[in-house]
Amino acid sequence: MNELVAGIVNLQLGNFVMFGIALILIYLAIAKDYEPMLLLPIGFGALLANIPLSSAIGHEGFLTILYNAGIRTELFPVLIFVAVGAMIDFKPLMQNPFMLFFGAAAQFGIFACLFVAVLMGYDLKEAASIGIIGAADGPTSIYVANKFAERLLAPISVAAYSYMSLVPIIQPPVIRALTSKRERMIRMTYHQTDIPKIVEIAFPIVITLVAGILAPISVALVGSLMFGNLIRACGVLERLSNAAQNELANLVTLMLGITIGSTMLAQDFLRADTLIIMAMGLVAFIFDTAGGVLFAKLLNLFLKNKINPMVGAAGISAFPMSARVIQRMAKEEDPENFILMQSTSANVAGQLGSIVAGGLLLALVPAFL
Amino acid sequence: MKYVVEINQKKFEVEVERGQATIVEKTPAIAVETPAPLPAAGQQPASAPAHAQGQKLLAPMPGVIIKVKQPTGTRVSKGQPLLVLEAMKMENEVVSSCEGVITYIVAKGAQVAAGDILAVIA
Amino acid sequence: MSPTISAALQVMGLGLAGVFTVLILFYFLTRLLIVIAKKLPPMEK
Repeated sequence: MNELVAGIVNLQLGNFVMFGIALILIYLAIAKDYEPMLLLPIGFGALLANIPLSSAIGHEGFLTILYNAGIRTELFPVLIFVAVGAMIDFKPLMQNPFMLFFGAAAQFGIFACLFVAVLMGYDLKEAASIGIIGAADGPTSIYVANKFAERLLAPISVAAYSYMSLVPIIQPPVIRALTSKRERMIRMTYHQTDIPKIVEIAFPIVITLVAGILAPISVALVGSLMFGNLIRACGVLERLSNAAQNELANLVTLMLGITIGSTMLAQDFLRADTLIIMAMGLVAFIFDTAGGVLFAKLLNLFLKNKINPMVGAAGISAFPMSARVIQRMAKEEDPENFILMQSTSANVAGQLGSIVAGGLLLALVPAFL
Repeated sequence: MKYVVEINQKKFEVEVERGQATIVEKTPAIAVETPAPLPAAGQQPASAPAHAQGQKLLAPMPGVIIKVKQPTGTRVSKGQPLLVLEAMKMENEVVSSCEGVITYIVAKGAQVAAGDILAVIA
Repeated sequence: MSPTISAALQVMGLGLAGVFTVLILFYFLTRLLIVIAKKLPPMEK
């Protein structure tokens, strides 16, 4: 008889709070369209994990098995990188490689947030994991957090994915605060150039070799992304490219989400840490945006052809949301201004930049311990 | 490379032949063959009048024209939306840069390169 | 200054410098690739 009511008897306040959080995530995914591919599975995973005596977690629970097989081994994020690599078109970046500077500048939030986290008393590994939310890139955040601070993985992933979908809300006020109307109205002429096929093919190979030899620890991150990209760029593996972009991406995302959700256990998640991490993630995104914009303004002091500083903000990795936000803002100021191509280039550079930053953290942090 | 060009609600598959690896023209030469065109009243020819009189509105970036909001002959004011250019999977409204009458406007479905003439306003 | 904070400052400095260095390297690699490709005979598919 006891077994029949065990679920009810073991319900505690924490469970109800977690149910509430899970339902909010599911609501945001469905009603607000905030990264539904991730927030819905995360929300439902959290429901499954927080039911008392849930058979979904624990030694033989399928979510725990998925966690051990896919997250602890870093397999899911790496597979996502293959899929993302097949989705990225590096041509806009090759047409405008100058935008790589913004892909670097807009990683500022990662390091700024890392520093703030250390000031708040986190150790270096945890601080790096919190800072990596500023990569604005889900799999990179999961990859780094899992290596450095497994106990913070759930809030870090939730923060990374939710702020990514909030880019259209977070970025505009920061950009407006840092630029004048005149700067936002700067027009940039776009020169269309043809990228030879051979460059498209050589790019992923060369980048992997150079990045890999310089920082062997980044091979898994950069290499899997570039593998996916080579499949896309080579032009003879259309089926594999489609499979990576659709089936692989969808399946792994599905399992990744619900598995991350299953780590949101009341006793781990309902802590001050979680709130602090959510707040710091926001700080990281704001510093990313500010870093990109201010760096563009700095470059403008020296450049003859001025850059619209809003393009700098597109150097974060949230693709293509950020590039679109920038174009929309440019159009608000001047309906005849089009900087979509430039901001797309910066946005692609950001995808590269965030992975490089992740790789660098993996290499640097252990050196200081 | 193959393009699908839509002219007067008819779809054409267009093969674009590239010359040397060093392409001199910035715009890929799109040869549009129109078999037995039926010039309906009020509809403009498909070819861009490079020598047309008036202010030329150029494509700011490469993309596809997914909507033409004003037909030729319409009087438009500055800032009035003329067409929608889809680039990078984002729909971009292209507005008139001056006041006048549209003497030419690109066809719906056309693939344009940056710098191509989208419309001429006289 | 506590050792963690000084370590964090160093990670911050080296990390930012590193990201810029690597992406500037990618910048030159990309330009180099394009220059080389333009010199090669055209590869027609």
